Amino acid sequence: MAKGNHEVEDFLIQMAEDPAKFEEYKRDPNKVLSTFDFPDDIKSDIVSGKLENIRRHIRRHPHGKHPVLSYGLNPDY
Amino acid sequence: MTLLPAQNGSLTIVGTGIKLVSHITVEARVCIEKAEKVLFLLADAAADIWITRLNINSESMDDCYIHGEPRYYAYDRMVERILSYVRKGLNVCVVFYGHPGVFVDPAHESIRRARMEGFPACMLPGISAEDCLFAELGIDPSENGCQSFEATDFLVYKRKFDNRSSLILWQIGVIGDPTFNRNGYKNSPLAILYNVLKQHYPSDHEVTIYEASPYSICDSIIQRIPLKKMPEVVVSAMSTLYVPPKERSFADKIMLDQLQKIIKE
Repeated sequence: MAKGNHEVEDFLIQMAEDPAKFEEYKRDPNKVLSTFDFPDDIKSDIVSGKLENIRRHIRRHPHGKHPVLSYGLNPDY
Repeated sequence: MTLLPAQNGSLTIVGTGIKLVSHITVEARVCIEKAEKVLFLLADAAADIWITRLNINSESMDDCYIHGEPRYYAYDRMVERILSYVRKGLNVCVVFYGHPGVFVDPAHESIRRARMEGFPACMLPGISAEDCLFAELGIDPSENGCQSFEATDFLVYKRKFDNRSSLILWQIGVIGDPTFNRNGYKNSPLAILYNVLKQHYPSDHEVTIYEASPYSICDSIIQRIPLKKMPEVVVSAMSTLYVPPKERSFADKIMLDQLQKIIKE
Protein backbone atom coordinates (compact mmCIF):
# COMPACT_ATOMS: atom_id res chain seq x y z
CA MET A 1 0.00 0.00 0.00
CA ALA A 2 1.17 3.48 -0.77
CA LYS A 3 2.85 5.68 1.76
CA GLY A 4 0.35 7.97 3.40
CA ASN A 5 -2.49 5.47 3.47
CA HIS A 6 -2.95 6.02 7.14
CA GLU A 7 -3.33 9.70 6.38
CA VAL A 8 -6.40 9.07 4.23
CA GLU A 9 -8.23 8.03 7.37
CA ASP A 10 -6.79 11.04 9.22
CA PHE A 11 -7.85 13.29 6.38
CA LEU A 12 -11.42 11.96 6.46
CA ILE A 13 -11.62 12.40 10.24
CA GLN A 14 -10.27 15.93 9.99
CA MET A 15 -12.78 16.90 7.30
CA ALA A 16 -15.59 15.63 9.52
CA GLU A 17 -14.35 17.17 12.76
CA ASP A 18 -13.30 20.57 11.47
CA PRO A 19 -16.12 22.37 9.62
CA ALA A 20 -13.89 25.33 8.72
CA LYS A 21 -11.35 23.00 7.12
CA PHE A 22 -14.12 21.20 5.27
CA GLU A 23 -15.46 24.50 3.94
CA GLU A 24 -11.95 25.33 2.76
CA TYR A 25 -11.74 21.92 1.10
CA LYS A 26 -15.04 22.50 -0.72
CA ARG A 27 -13.71 25.83 -2.04
CA ASP A 28 -10.28 24.58 -3.04
CA PRO A 29 -9.72 20.84 -2.58
CA ASN A 30 -6.27 20.85 -4.13
CA LYS A 31 -5.02 23.50 -1.71
CA VAL A 32 -6.13 21.50 1.31
CA LEU A 33 -4.84 18.24 -0.14
CA SER A 34 -1.44 19.80 -0.75
CA THR A 35 -0.97 19.83 3.03
CA PHE A 36 -1.25 16.04 3.09
CA ASP A 37 1.43 13.69 1.90
CA PHE A 38 -0.66 11.81 -0.63
CA PRO A 39 0.50 10.31 -3.93
CA ASP A 40 -1.20 11.82 -6.98
CA ASP A 41 -3.51 8.85 -7.58
CA ILE A 42 -4.93 9.18 -4.07
CA LYS A 43 -5.40 12.95 -4.46
CA SER A 44 -7.18 12.45 -7.74
CA ASP A 45 -9.48 9.77 -6.29
CA ILE A 46 -10.33 11.98 -3.31
CA VAL A 47 -11.10 14.98 -5.51
CA SER A 48 -13.35 12.80 -7.68
CA GLY A 49 -15.78 12.77 -4.74
CA LYS A 50 -16.79 9.21 -5.60
CA LEU A 51 -17.21 6.81 -2.71
CA GLU A 52 -15.93 3.83 -4.68
CA ASN A 53 -12.70 5.69 -5.55
CA ILE A 54 -12.04 6.89 -2.01
CA ARG A 55 -12.71 3.45 -0.54
CA ARG A 56 -9.80 2.04 -2.51
CA HIS A 57 -7.42 3.92 -0.25
CA ILE A 58 -8.94 3.18 3.12
CA ARG A 59 -7.57 0.28 5.03
CA ARG A 60 -10.07 -2.47 5.46
CA HIS A 61 -10.35 -4.52 8.55
CA PRO A 62 -8.14 -7.60 8.62
CA HIS A 63 -11.25 -9.73 8.22
CA GLY A 64 -11.91 -8.75 4.65
CA LYS A 65 -12.31 -6.15 1.96
CA HIS A 66 -16.01 -5.57 2.47
CA PRO A 67 -17.79 -3.71 5.22
CA VAL A 68 -19.09 -5.84 8.03
CA LEU A 69 -22.68 -6.94 8.36
CA SER A 70 -24.28 -7.41 11.69
CA TYR A 71 -27.57 -9.00 10.78
CA GLY A 72 -27.69 -12.74 11.34
CA LEU A 73 -30.22 -14.65 9.34
CA ASN A 74 -32.21 -17.22 11.20
CA PRO A 75 -30.53 -20.55 10.38
CA ASP A 76 -33.88 -22.29 10.54
CA TYR A 77 -35.29 -20.75 7.42
CA MET B 1 -36.40 -7.75 32.63
CA THR B 2 -33.95 -7.94 35.51
CA LEU B 3 -33.94 -11.39 37.09
CA LEU B 4 -31.02 -10.95 39.49
CA PRO B 5 -30.11 -8.12 41.90
CA ALA B 6 -28.27 -5.22 40.23
CA GLN B 7 -24.50 -5.52 40.45
CA ASN B 8 -21.40 -3.63 39.37
CA GLY B 9 -20.90 -3.42 35.65
CA SER B 10 -23.21 -1.98 33.03
CA LEU B 11 -23.79 -2.06 29.33
CA THR B 12 -24.71 0.78 26.98
CA ILE B 13 -24.99 0.16 23.26
CA VAL B 14 -24.61 3.13 20.93
CA GLY B 15 -24.41 3.81 17.20
CA THR B 16 -22.10 6.09 15.25
CA GLY B 17 -24.62 6.75 12.52
CA ILE B 18 -23.48 6.25 8.95
CA LYS B 19 -21.34 9.31 8.28
CA LEU B 20 -17.98 9.31 10.02
CA VAL B 21 -17.95 11.62 13.09
CA SER B 22 -20.84 13.76 11.82
CA HIS B 23 -23.75 11.47 12.68
CA ILE B 24 -22.96 10.50 16.23
CA THR B 25 -25.26 11.94 18.90
CA VAL B 26 -23.92 13.94 21.83
CA GLU B 27 -25.12 11.33 24.34
CA ALA B 28 -23.47 8.48 22.42
CA ARG B 29 -20.17 10.35 22.20
CA VAL B 30 -20.19 11.14 25.92
CA CYS B 31 -20.94 7.49 26.66
CA ILE B 32 -17.94 6.35 24.59
CA GLU B 33 -15.64 8.89 26.22
CA LYS B 34 -16.68 7.97 29.76
CA ALA B 35 -16.79 4.18 29.43
CA GLU B 36 -14.29 2.02 31.26
CA LYS B 37 -14.24 -0.33 28.27
CA VAL B 38 -15.30 0.28 24.67
CA LEU B 39 -15.92 -2.51 22.17
CA PHE B 40 -16.65 -1.59 18.59
CA LEU B 41 -17.71 -2.98 15.22
CA LEU B 42 -17.47 -0.31 12.55
CA ALA B 43 -17.46 -0.11 8.80
CA ASP B 44 -13.84 0.85 8.14
CA ALA B 45 -10.47 1.74 9.59
CA ALA B 46 -11.17 5.50 9.67
CA ALA B 47 -14.01 4.93 12.11
CA ASP B 48 -11.85 2.53 14.14
CA ILE B 49 -9.11 5.16 14.49
CA TRP B 50 -11.61 7.83 15.49
CA ILE B 51 -13.23 5.70 18.20
CA THR B 52 -9.84 4.68 19.58
CA ARG B 53 -8.95 8.36 19.85
CA LEU B 54 -12.14 9.04 21.80
CA ASN B 55 -11.29 6.31 24.32
CA ILE B 56 -7.96 4.51 24.51
CA ASN B 57 -9.59 1.54 26.25
CA SER B 58 -11.21 0.55 22.96
CA GLU B 59 -11.12 -2.83 21.29
CA SER B 60 -12.38 -3.96 17.90
CA MET B 61 -14.61 -7.01 17.59
CA ASP B 62 -13.66 -7.57 13.92
CA ASP B 63 -11.73 -10.70 14.81
CA CYS B 64 -15.02 -12.38 15.72
CA TYR B 65 -15.59 -12.96 12.00
CA ILE B 66 -14.13 -16.06 10.41
CA HIS B 67 -14.17 -16.53 6.66
CA GLY B 68 -16.71 -19.10 5.48
CA GLU B 69 -18.55 -19.41 8.78
CA PRO B 70 -22.20 -18.46 9.27
CA ARG B 71 -22.26 -14.85 10.43
CA TYR B 72 -24.31 -15.67 13.49
CA TYR B 73 -21.26 -17.56 14.88
CA ALA B 74 -19.47 -14.20 14.92
CA TYR B 75 -22.42 -12.57 16.66
CA ASP B 76 -22.33 -15.22 19.38
CA ARG B 77 -18.65 -14.47 19.94
CA MET B 78 -19.39 -10.74 20.13
CA VAL B 79 -22.08 -11.26 22.76
CA GLU B 80 -19.74 -13.42 24.83
CA ARG B 81 -16.96 -10.86 24.61
CA ILE B 82 -19.28 -7.99 25.54
CA LEU B 83 -20.64 -9.84 28.56
CA SER B 84 -17.20 -10.94 29.71
CA TYR B 85 -16.26 -7.28 30.30
CA VAL B 86 -19.59 -6.42 31.91
CA ARG B 87 -19.16 -9.37 34.30
CA LYS B 88 -15.79 -7.94 35.34
CA GLY B 89 -17.74 -5.02 36.80
CA LEU B 90 -16.81 -2.52 34.09
CA ASN B 91 -19.06 0.14 32.60
CA VAL B 92 -18.97 -1.05 29.01
CA CYS B 93 -19.97 0.90 25.90
CA VAL B 94 -20.40 -1.05 22.68
CA VAL B 95 -20.34 0.90 19.44
CA PHE B 96 -21.88 -0.24 16.17
CA TYR B 97 -22.16 1.74 12.95
CA GLY B 98 -25.54 3.08 11.95
CA HIS B 99 -28.35 2.59 14.45
CA PRO B 100 -27.21 -0.02 16.99
CA GLY B 101 -30.64 -1.63 17.11
CA VAL B 102 -31.25 -1.90 13.37
CA PHE B 103 -29.87 -5.09 11.79
CA VAL B 104 -27.57 -5.68 14.76
CA ASP B 105 -28.33 -9.03 16.36
CA PRO B 106 -25.50 -8.93 18.92
CA ALA B 107 -26.70 -5.57 20.27
CA HIS B 108 -30.16 -6.84 21.19
CA GLU B 109 -28.90 -10.19 22.41
CA SER B 110 -26.20 -8.75 24.66
CA ILE B 111 -28.69 -6.34 26.26
CA ARG B 112 -31.13 -9.19 26.85
CA ARG B 113 -28.43 -11.39 28.41
CA ALA B 114 -26.95 -8.57 30.52
CA ARG B 115 -30.37 -7.78 31.99
CA MET B 116 -31.00 -11.46 32.66
CA GLU B 117 -27.76 -11.52 34.66
CA GLY B 118 -28.77 -8.46 36.67
CA PHE B 119 -26.72 -5.77 34.95
CA PRO B 120 -28.22 -2.45 33.88
CA ALA B 121 -28.23 -2.33 30.10
CA CYS B 122 -29.64 0.09 27.56
CA MET B 123 -29.43 1.17 23.94
CA LEU B 124 -29.15 4.70 22.58
CA PRO B 125 -30.58 5.37 19.12
CA GLY B 126 -28.46 6.33 16.14
CA ILE B 127 -28.89 7.32 12.50
CA SER B 128 -29.56 4.29 10.29
CA ALA B 129 -29.08 3.79 6.56
CA GLU B 130 -32.85 4.07 6.21
CA ASP B 131 -32.79 7.52 7.82
CA CYS B 132 -30.18 8.60 5.27
CA LEU B 133 -32.27 7.14 2.47
CA PHE B 134 -35.35 9.10 3.56
CA ALA B 135 -33.33 12.31 3.62
CA GLU B 136 -31.43 11.86 0.37
CA LEU B 137 -34.14 10.32 -1.79
CA GLY B 138 -36.75 12.73 -0.43
CA ILE B 139 -39.11 10.07 0.86
CA ASP B 140 -41.52 10.63 3.71
CA PRO B 141 -42.63 7.25 5.08
CA SER B 142 -45.92 8.79 6.17
CA GLU B 143 -46.83 9.35 2.54
CA ASN B 144 -48.24 6.09 1.17
CA GLY B 145 -46.68 4.14 4.04
CA CYS B 146 -43.38 2.30 3.98
CA GLN B 147 -42.48 -1.38 4.30
CA SER B 148 -38.98 -2.48 5.20
CA PHE B 149 -37.56 -6.01 4.96
CA GLU B 150 -34.20 -7.71 4.91
CA ALA B 151 -33.94 -8.95 1.31
CA THR B 152 -33.36 -12.64 2.01
CA ASP B 153 -36.10 -12.60 4.65
CA PHE B 154 -38.40 -10.96 2.08
CA LEU B 155 -37.82 -13.79 -0.40
CA VAL B 156 -37.59 -16.78 1.89
CA TYR B 157 -40.65 -15.98 3.96
CA LYS B 158 -42.62 -14.72 0.96
CA ARG B 159 -43.48 -11.51 2.80
CA LYS B 160 -46.80 -10.01 1.87
CA PHE B 161 -46.58 -6.35 0.98
CA ASP B 162 -48.63 -3.59 -0.57
CA ASN B 163 -47.25 -2.30 -3.86
CA ARG B 164 -49.14 0.97 -3.35
CA SER B 165 -46.72 1.71 -0.50
CA SER B 166 -42.95 2.24 -0.58
CA LEU B 167 -40.86 -0.91 -0.29
CA ILE B 168 -37.34 -0.92 1.15
CA LEU B 169 -35.18 -4.04 0.92
CA TRP B 170 -31.96 -4.17 2.92
CA GLN B 171 -28.82 -6.16 2.22
CA ILE B 172 -29.61 -6.88 -1.42
CA GLY B 173 -25.90 -7.53 -1.96
CA VAL B 174 -25.81 -10.60 0.28
CA ILE B 175 -29.04 -12.33 -0.65
CA GLY B 176 -29.15 -15.98 0.32
CA ASP B 177 -25.67 -16.10 1.84
CA PRO B 178 -25.62 -16.33 5.65
CA THR B 179 -21.84 -16.80 5.82
CA PHE B 180 -19.07 -14.29 6.27
CA ASN B 181 -17.10 -14.04 3.04
CA ARG B 182 -14.00 -11.89 3.11
CA ASN B 183 -13.90 -11.82 -0.68
CA GLY B 184 -17.34 -10.31 -1.06
CA TYR B 185 -20.70 -11.67 -2.14
CA LYS B 186 -22.32 -12.70 -5.41
CA ASN B 187 -24.85 -10.43 -7.09
CA SER B 188 -26.46 -13.30 -9.02
CA PRO B 189 -29.40 -13.72 -6.55
CA LEU B 190 -30.62 -10.31 -7.74
CA ALA B 191 -32.13 -12.19 -10.69
CA ILE B 192 -34.32 -14.11 -8.26
CA LEU B 193 -35.33 -10.91 -6.51
CA TYR B 194 -36.26 -9.45 -9.89
CA ASN B 195 -38.40 -12.49 -10.71
CA VAL B 196 -40.38 -11.91 -7.54
CA LEU B 197 -40.71 -8.14 -7.85
CA LYS B 198 -41.78 -8.25 -11.50
CA GLN B 199 -44.92 -10.08 -10.41
CA HIS B 200 -45.93 -6.91 -8.56
CA TYR B 201 -44.43 -4.06 -10.61
CA PRO B 202 -44.01 -3.29 -14.31
CA SER B 203 -40.54 -4.12 -15.65
CA ASP B 204 -39.88 -0.44 -16.44
CA HIS B 205 -40.81 0.68 -12.91
CA GLU B 206 -37.95 2.90 -11.73
CA VAL B 207 -36.22 1.65 -8.57
CA THR B 208 -33.28 3.12 -6.67
CA ILE B 209 -30.23 1.33 -5.35
CA TYR B 210 -28.81 3.37 -2.54
CA GLU B 211 -25.68 3.36 -0.46
CA ALA B 212 -25.25 6.21 2.03
CA SER B 213 -21.88 7.93 1.99
CA PRO B 214 -19.86 7.42 5.16
CA TYR B 215 -17.67 10.47 4.42
CA SER B 216 -18.44 14.17 4.29
CA ILE B 217 -16.23 14.65 1.23
CA CYS B 218 -18.10 12.32 -1.09
CA ASP B 219 -21.58 11.64 -2.35
CA SER B 220 -23.77 8.66 -1.63
CA ILE B 221 -24.18 6.10 -4.39
CA ILE B 222 -27.62 6.49 -5.96
CA GLN B 223 -28.43 4.34 -8.97
CA ARG B 224 -31.85 4.81 -10.55
CA ILE B 225 -32.69 1.96 -12.89
CA PRO B 226 -35.73 0.30 -14.42
CA LEU B 227 -36.64 -2.83 -12.47
CA LYS B 228 -35.71 -5.05 -15.42
CA LYS B 229 -32.04 -4.00 -15.04
CA MET B 230 -31.85 -5.48 -11.54
CA PRO B 231 -30.18 -8.74 -12.61
CA GLU B 232 -27.33 -6.80 -14.25
CA VAL B 233 -26.62 -4.18 -11.64
CA VAL B 234 -23.55 -4.28 -9.40
CA VAL B 235 -24.33 -3.74 -5.74
CA SER B 236 -22.30 -3.88 -2.53
CA ALA B 237 -23.03 -5.52 0.79
CA MET B 238 -24.16 -2.10 2.02
CA SER B 239 -26.66 -1.41 -0.79
CA THR B 240 -30.35 -0.92 -0.11
CA LEU B 241 -33.17 -1.11 -2.67
CA TYR B 242 -35.97 1.42 -2.70
CA VAL B 243 -39.08 0.59 -4.72
CA PRO B 244 -41.59 3.44 -4.96
CA PRO B 245 -45.33 2.76 -4.98
CA LYS B 246 -46.66 1.35 -8.24
CA GLU B 247 -49.81 3.44 -8.15
CA ARG B 248 -51.59 5.97 -5.99
CA SER B 249 -53.90 4.87 -3.20
CA PHE B 250 -57.58 5.79 -2.99
CA ALA B 251 -59.33 6.33 0.31
CA ASP B 252 -62.10 3.93 1.25
CA LYS B 253 -65.27 6.02 1.45
CA ILE B 254 -67.05 3.68 3.84
CA MET B 255 -64.15 3.83 6.27
CA LEU B 256 -63.95 7.61 5.95
CA ASP B 257 -67.66 7.88 6.75
CA GLN B 258 -67.27 5.57 9.75
CA LEU B 259 -64.44 7.67 11.12
CA GLN B 260 -66.29 10.93 10.57
CA LYS B 261 -69.34 9.54 12.28
CA ILE B 262 -67.48 8.31 15.38
CA ILE B 263 -65.56 11.57 15.75
CA LYS B 264 -68.79 13.59 15.69
CA GLU B 265 -70.48 11.41 18.32
